[in-house]
Amino acid sequence: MIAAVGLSSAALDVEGLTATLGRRPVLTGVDLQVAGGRSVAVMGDSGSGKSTLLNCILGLVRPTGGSVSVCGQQVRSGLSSRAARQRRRSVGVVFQSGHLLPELDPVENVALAGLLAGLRPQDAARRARALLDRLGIDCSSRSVLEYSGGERQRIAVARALINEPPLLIADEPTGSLDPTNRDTVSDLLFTLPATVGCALVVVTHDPVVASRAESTYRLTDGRLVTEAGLTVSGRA
Amino acid sequence: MNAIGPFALIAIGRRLGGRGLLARLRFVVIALGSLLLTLSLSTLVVAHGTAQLTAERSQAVSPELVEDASHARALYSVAGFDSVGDEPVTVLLIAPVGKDAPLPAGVNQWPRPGHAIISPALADALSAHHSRRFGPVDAIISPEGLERPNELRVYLRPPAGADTAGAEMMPVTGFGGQTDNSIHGAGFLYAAKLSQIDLMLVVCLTLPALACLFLGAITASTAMRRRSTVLSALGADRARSMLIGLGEHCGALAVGTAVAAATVGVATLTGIRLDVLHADYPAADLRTMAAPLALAVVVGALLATATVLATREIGRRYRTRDLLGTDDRPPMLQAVLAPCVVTAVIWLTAQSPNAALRIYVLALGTVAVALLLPALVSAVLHLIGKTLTATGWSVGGPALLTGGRGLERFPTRTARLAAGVCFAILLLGQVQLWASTLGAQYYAAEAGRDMYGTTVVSATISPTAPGLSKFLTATAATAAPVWEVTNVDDAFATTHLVTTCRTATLLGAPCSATPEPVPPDSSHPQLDRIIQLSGSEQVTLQTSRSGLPAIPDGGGATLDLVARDGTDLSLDTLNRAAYATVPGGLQLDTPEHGWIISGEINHNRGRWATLYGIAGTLAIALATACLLARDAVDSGRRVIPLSAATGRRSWLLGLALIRTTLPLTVAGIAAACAYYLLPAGMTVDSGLITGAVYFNPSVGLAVAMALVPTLVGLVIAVIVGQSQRRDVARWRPDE
Repeated sequence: MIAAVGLSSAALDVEGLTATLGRRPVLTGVDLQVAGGRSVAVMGDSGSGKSTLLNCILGLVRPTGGSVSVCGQQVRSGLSSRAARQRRRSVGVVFQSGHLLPELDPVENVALAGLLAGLRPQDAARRARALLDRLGIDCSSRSVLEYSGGERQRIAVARALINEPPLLIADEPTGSLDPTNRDTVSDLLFTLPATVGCALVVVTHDPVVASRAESTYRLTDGRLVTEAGLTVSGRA
Repeated sequence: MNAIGPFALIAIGRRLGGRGLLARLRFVVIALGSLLLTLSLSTLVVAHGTAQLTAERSQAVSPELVEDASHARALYSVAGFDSVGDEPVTVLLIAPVGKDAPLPAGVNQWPRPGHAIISPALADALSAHHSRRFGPVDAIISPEGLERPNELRVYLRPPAGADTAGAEMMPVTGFGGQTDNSIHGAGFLYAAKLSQIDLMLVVCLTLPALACLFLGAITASTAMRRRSTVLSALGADRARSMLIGLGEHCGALAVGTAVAAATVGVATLTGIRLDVLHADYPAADLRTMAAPLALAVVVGALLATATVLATREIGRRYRTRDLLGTDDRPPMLQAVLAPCVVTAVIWLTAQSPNAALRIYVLALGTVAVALLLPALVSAVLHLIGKTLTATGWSVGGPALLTGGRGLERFPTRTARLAAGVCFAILLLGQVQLWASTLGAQYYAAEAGRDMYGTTVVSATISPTAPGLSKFLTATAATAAPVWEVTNVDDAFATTHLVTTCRTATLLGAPCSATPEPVPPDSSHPQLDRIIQLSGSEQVTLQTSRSGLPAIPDGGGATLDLVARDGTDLSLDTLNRAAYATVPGGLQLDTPEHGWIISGEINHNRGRWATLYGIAGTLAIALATACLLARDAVDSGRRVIPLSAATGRRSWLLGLALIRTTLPLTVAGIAAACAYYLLPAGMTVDSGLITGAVYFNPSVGLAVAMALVPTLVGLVIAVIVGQSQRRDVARWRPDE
């Protein structure tokens, strides 16, 4: 069956994805569909292929087989301007350690992603303020270094959302947070599909975080399986 | 661990050295530091070796004087110092006594009467100036007879039958013997003092080289600290840790030393000749220094290694961030004070009539500005950062926004990184300034030459010197003689001028058989020139209608030759006539020409300082750029995920330019301006003060010192930008 969440309008459509690391096969036929407004958690042991799956979705790694589509458009691999444009418009990414720039304040950090995507400065600033406001971040001109770990991760979420992507990918978004902040950020992330309408794919080791997703899968032997151990290899 | 031998530890260190951009930059900076250090030590050896050779050769050509003329085997006299192209020429008069008369070293034959034997450099100079002033040349002096290979030296033999009594030729028994009264030529007398050369080399090459090694080694301190911790945890003691550290840098140290050794080796085979610097170090001379040069290479390598390892220890104990600081506000008070101090120094030095005080003010002011300049750079970067941020917001430029904000928020940190450039430029600039220092007399001489040219030329000679009347007759068509005799009584100088009535009329002065006072401003340029040169409070003129009146006894007599038509006299023609008629010639020139010769020599020292200064600035700029690059790469790690996720890479070059090139440019410009402006009150344009010294800040050096950091910063920024583009392409979310 195909791992499918909200099939009516798939924001992410992965079909028969295969990929190798060197000569070692990492993904051996992954199928995953996530519709807008829905959330999926992908778990797996180290080396199971979670990062490779993310890289394929982002177009940073060329799969050896299968396809990845976001909002019906096939994801282009590589660093060509068309691939980059597609990535900017369709995918937002939240990194484990946030990767915020310490010299910038929260608005600037968030707006920067908008500017890189070609937004007009005024629009980028307006959207950044609105997002931060919605996520409960004080829009002061202080450096992000002066914010707590949880606040920084929320700023990172706002940055991932500024270009209004239909697909939001979070790579271990709570990996560097304490339990309180982990819960705060998880709350925020998993309400986004409902409030913003994007599809959310969270890659995590943490079962507590994964349990908040509408569907949770585990990558085992290069394939997605359900928590019950069923291989997801066809449309349900 | 204990079983691992030292070579294995070094090999491990080599593998730990890394292959990334920073590792490559570090390699270049440490190799450059090692190269410069070894070259600076080798240059010190060459300078000292050359000085010793100069002294030995000066001794070898010095005459062995003998009081009893009956023991004389040759006659010898220092006729004086002539000049060709503003370079001093040692003019020596020699004559054999008997058939087996000894010759000075480097001279293989006696010149024929009235002929000359000249040095190769003099031959070139005479040829370049189309001059035959020393008459027919019989031979060229070989190198062992020259104090310096490029010395201008001539041995003249008086014409046959010439009366040499006036030439004061001394009886000699030979040349090159041990004597306490060596007679030195221009090659020895005009050579720079060794202490000056040592200072110049140490400041311009050795210190920048050590700074390169320090900055290069500390660039890796974060990674080194991490590795050291791991190694310590694994049980490595300091010695083993040091061996691993040696392995990390031994490649760069070896390359730097090898290039230096190769350069020194090639130099000993080919010699070094740089005409623009009047430098000539023949291969044969350099080969005599082979052993100390080899030692310099070894010491250079050891010193470079010790510096790198010591720096590694510092880096192990402290984080680089601790060394650099993390302040985020520019110290505005110091920033404002910096230009105030510059202005105060200019004003005080320009206003003060006290020559010594001016020097102290300049020295103290320079130290103060060196301390304050990083604050000014910090404030300027802060303002530029604000402007760039605002521009970034208005045009939607991510690089401007991010880079500008970085400069705005961390200006002190950035300025501290660039402070090395400020210090280096100011320090190197000071060396150039002091190397090219000239006294008021030089400028007065230059002004005199510009105003009067060679319409009046002088020589100090007795009025009764043999051959003088022949010379005056030979030159009578173009030059008229005026004799100057100066007497000083109780610090009151009186000059008595003696000439013919015809010459007095030519000078617009009345004829008078008795001495008549001459007004200070005679309204005739040539007479004014003579009065000015006399330097006396009172000048009198005495004329005679037929021939010259008797020259008064007492005091030294100076012969002034005045151009009859008021135009410039040909020094070459006059001196050629003098050498042909007066034994040893007259060395006629404008009276203050000695100052101009000294000035030219100082200018040449300034050119050396400029050359070394540019090399030192380049090294410091490169090392500082390496440190800035490390900072840019560290910061870049945070923008790479965003760039990869958004697929934007073009802004990384702009960001690297702002983070690396801009601080270096601002630091370079600020320091170059400070170097150029600080002595503005002590340049010749600020007015002449008796006894004062004047500086010649070089526009070329200032521009070079401002441009070199910028260019280095540009290159490093492009390298960093390209490296980050590759990092973006390689980046994956799991990193």
